[in-house]
Parts: sequence; C-alpha cells; structure tokens
Amino acid sequence: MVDECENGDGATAARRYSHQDHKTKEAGDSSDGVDSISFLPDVILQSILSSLPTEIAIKTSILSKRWRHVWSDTPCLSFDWIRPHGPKGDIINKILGRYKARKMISFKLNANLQDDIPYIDRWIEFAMSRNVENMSLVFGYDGDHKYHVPDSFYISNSFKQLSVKYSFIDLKLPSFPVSWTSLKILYLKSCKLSEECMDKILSGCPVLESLTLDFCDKLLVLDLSKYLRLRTLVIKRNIWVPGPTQIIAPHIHYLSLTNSQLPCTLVDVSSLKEARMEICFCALEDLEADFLQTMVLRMLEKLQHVDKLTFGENFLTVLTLAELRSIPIPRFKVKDLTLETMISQYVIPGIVRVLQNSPELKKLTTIHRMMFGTITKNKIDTYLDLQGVKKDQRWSLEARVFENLKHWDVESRHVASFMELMFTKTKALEKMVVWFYSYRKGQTLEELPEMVPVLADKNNVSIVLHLFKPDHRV
Amino acid sequence: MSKKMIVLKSSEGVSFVVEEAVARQSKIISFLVEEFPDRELPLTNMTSEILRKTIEYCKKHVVEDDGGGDSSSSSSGDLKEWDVKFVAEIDQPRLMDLLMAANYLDIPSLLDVTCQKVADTIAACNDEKEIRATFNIENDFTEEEVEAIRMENQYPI
Repeated sequence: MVDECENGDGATAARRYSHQDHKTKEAGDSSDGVDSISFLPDVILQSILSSLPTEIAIKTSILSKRWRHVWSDTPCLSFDWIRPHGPKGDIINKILGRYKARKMISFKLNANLQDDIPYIDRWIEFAMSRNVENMSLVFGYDGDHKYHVPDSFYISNSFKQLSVKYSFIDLKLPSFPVSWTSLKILYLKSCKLSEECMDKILSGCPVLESLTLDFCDKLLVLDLSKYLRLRTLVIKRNIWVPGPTQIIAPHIHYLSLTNSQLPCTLVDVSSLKEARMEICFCALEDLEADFLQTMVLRMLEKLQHVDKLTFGENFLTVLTLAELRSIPIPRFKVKDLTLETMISQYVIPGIVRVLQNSPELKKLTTIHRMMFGTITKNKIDTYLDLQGVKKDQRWSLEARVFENLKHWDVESRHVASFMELMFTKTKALEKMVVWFYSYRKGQTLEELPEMVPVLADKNNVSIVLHLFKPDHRV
Repeated sequence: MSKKMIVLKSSEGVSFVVEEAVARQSKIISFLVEEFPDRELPLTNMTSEILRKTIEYCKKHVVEDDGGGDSSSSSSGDLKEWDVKFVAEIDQPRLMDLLMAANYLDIPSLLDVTCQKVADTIAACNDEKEIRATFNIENDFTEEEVEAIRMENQYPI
C-alpha cells in the first residue's frame, strides 16, 4: 500500500521557497486595481510586520496614510541586520523613540560591539520594560570589546524564550539569585559558564522545559537531577569545547547530542524517550577512531530503551568501523528510527547492524541531504588499513553497491536499492519515509516516484517519498 | 468506529461535511460546536472556495490521536514544507481572503503561515513603489509628506 498524498502517486515533489519566485508571479496580480491589503485590521497588519526585520517594517510607513503609524505598534522588534558594519546606535535609538507598543512579544538584537556597547543596556531595558516574552541577543566577536548584560537582565517574569549568543566570554551573573519565573526555553551559545553558574541560572527557572547549550565551554559536569520539569536537552560540542563531559539528566525526555572527539559520558538518561546523536568532525582533525567507537558504544548502551532514535552520518560511520572490526553493538528497543545520512558504503555496515539489532522497529525515516563536516573518507580507509581489515574483504556486497558514490551522482536506482536493503534487514517495519534533497540541477530522480509503489507492494510497507530540488537561494 | 461529523455552510449556501476533529482547529467552531451541537454552522462571510481551502488546511493539520506516533520532528518538517507549498499555490487576492478566514475562524497556525507569506512578499520588494504596485496601495501622501517620512526613516549606510 502507498500513503495517499495530494497528487495520489505517493510522492511529493515540493520546491523550496524562493523569494524571487512569487515576486515575479505576484507583480501580475495588480491588474484589478483593488487594494488587497490596507483594509486589514491593524492587529493583522502588525502580525505581518512582526516577522520582518524592523528596518523593513518601518519602511511601510511611507506607503500611504493608512500605513503611516501601523509599524510602531508591532509587538516585535528585530534589529538583526544584514549590514554588519557602521554604527546603528542612533538609528535604533531613533526607532525606539517612535515605538509605541506597550507589550512586546519579541525583541531581537544582533549587536555590533565596536559601536553599540554604550547603548545595549538601554535597549535591553527598553524591551524588558515592555514585558517582552521572547528575547534573542547576539553579541559577536569584536577583538577587545567585551559586553556583559546588565544585572537587571537576570530578573524577569515576562521572559518565556531566551536566546543569548556570545563569543566565548565568561558569563557574569549578578550577586543576587537569577529569577526568570516564566522562562520555558533557554538557548545559550558560546558562553563560558561554570557549574555554579549553570546551577544558579537553572535554580531561577522553575518552569524551564528546554535547555540548549551550543558550544558552552567550561561546564564539565552537567547535573540536571534537581530540575524535574526540564524535558528537552540539546547539546552541541566540538573539538575546541570540552564541556560537558558528564551528563546527568535523569528526567530528560528528549536529548540531542552532537559530540566531538573529546570525551563525554551519559551518566544518567533513564527517562529518555527520544534521542538524536551525531558527531561534529572538522577535516583538520585526526580521526580518533578507537576513542570514538568506545564513546559511541558506551552511549548506545544508555539508549537501548529509547523509543525514538536519530543517528547522523558520522555516528553511523563510527558504527561501521565497530561493525567491520567485529565489535559487538547493543540491541535496541527503538520503534521509530531516523537516519540522516548520504548514501555511501561507509554507513551501510553500521546501518545494517543497527537494523538487525532493532527487532521492534516499525517506522524508518531516512534523510539524504548533502552535508559538510563528514568524516574524511581517506582517514577511514587509512584507519581500516592499520587495523588490518583486508581491503578486498572490507565491504560487503550490499555496501559495494554504493561504492565511491557521491551524493550528486545518486540516481533513482541507488535510492531504490538502498530502500530495498532496509526492507531486507527489518522484520516488523510498517512505514518508511524517505527524504531526498538533490544537490545539483539535473539530479531529478524522476523514475523514483514510479518505483516506490512497486517497492511498497512487494515489501508490504507503506512508503512516503519526498523529493526536493536544489535550493537556489543565495 | 465512525467519527463525529459536522456541517459547515458557505456564503453561497454550499454545505461541507467535515470531521469534528478537523473543524475544531478553529477555536470559533470549537466553541459553536459545544454551544449548538448537531446544528449546521452557517459561515456567511466565507465563500465556498475559501472554506474549501481552509478545510484542506485543517485536514492536513489535524492531530491524529491513533497513537501512530506521527508527531515526529520529520513529520513536523514535512508539515512545514506542505504549508509553504500550500500558500505558494494561492494567488494574492485569495491569500488575503484565506488570511481573513483564519482570523475570523481563529485558526492561529493558518493565520501565521498566511501572514508569513504576505511578509515574505513585502520583504521581496525592492522599494515602497514595488510594495504599492504589488498590493495596489494608493499613495495618498503629498510629495512633501513623502519627503518628511523619508527623512525620518533615513539610515546612514
């Protein structure tokens, strides 16, 4: 059987959104001469303007008298400008002077430290005085210019979502306790924060549900055992960011962990229902293959009970190494598995092992998209040579189907063979979803939608296929 | 097990039979269904065409509670792509009608995607002239007023 899609052929070929497209299309719609927008109530016009950078929203004041002051009551301000250079202080001050909304939903600021430091405190306080709910602050790197948010930032009962991106400075907390009583989602990027700091923040967030630590240095032991309501944890590490090395998160339901070639241990993730695992690899690094296999296998032991798993390409490659070296890989209870990987021989043995060790698997999703930062293939070959895994016996027949296959050379038959392989390695599979993102223009995979119903019938699995043409956005 | 159906009637008097769970994504319909069960709901300010589009959207977005576990992140990504395609295929006057329908029926997610599409259209315009041309907005300012506003909005580059 094949899932019904809107065109009934079981395949959806959607094109990614492009500004150029509808611009040309809609210029032609003006023929009937009736104003199609100005009649909308202010509140709707303002929600339209809310998703625009303030720089553009404010330009609408020149359209007509109707539009003169509409922007100034928009509940969102976004100073996330594309033009990075030049002082913006005066402009922002001028805009804030004319801004009238008493209640703000969102405030976004991408500050230029060289020029903006004298003003930033005031801008943040401006947004906070209007009980802003979602605050997003970016402080880029600018040599010697360092900025710390004012102490008053740490007391707010209006924040619901907060995102702060620094560029590797120590977070300076106030002497009094942090109090973000309504905060549900916290995203921190590139800040150095100690364990005490982390504790002080989390203690002040009684209803926090989601925490993201994106390259947060210094924090070595992340102990979340006290925070019962925190359900979602996202951690990104790389080779320059050692922390966290230990994750104690017994109440977490969802974990997304991007590892690096530095040690990290999942100490307690016993309530986990869903996890996404990947490894960040930089082409300049040496491949620490033995270390990675040990770390990955230890983590997998902690994920055996999880219902829903996602593995990235580098993670699967490490599993391939373990499989080729006949190192045992644990069994999983996973029912819903997602593989985010390009199709190549380097992931096949790892995938096959995971499938064979997941007897309860019902749904399999594969996402094939051109990715950068994958482990360099010749480093893998060199490692396997050193391990004495013989060249001629290294790759099984099923892996050799995809030998030296580059993402831009993938054709319909490759994807079909890949799907077929998935079916032969699973027993209870009911549904497969395949996402394929073409990399180059001519790569259309036209035959694939016709092959899918045949595959579905033959294997008694429902299949949904999504094909995406290359994204032409610059 | 048969699902509970309700009837929605467009301004032209055309009846649409919809699963209650689908229609309940509209907070207004949800309220009306509680107040007036088993009654046809007249939506006198919505044409059949727009009502059909709205129902199409709601059908796609109804949360299936069959325990099938389809609420995965990939299917929410799937839904986003579907939304983009859905609004991309609608011409501008109808998009505005749909936006009004989303507002009237109180369907926040549909209001968001339609507003986003309009915002993208505005952002894609090079200057105010193009925005006016795109939406047929009549410029009722005098030249002096335009100049004054331009000064007010001027940013040093």
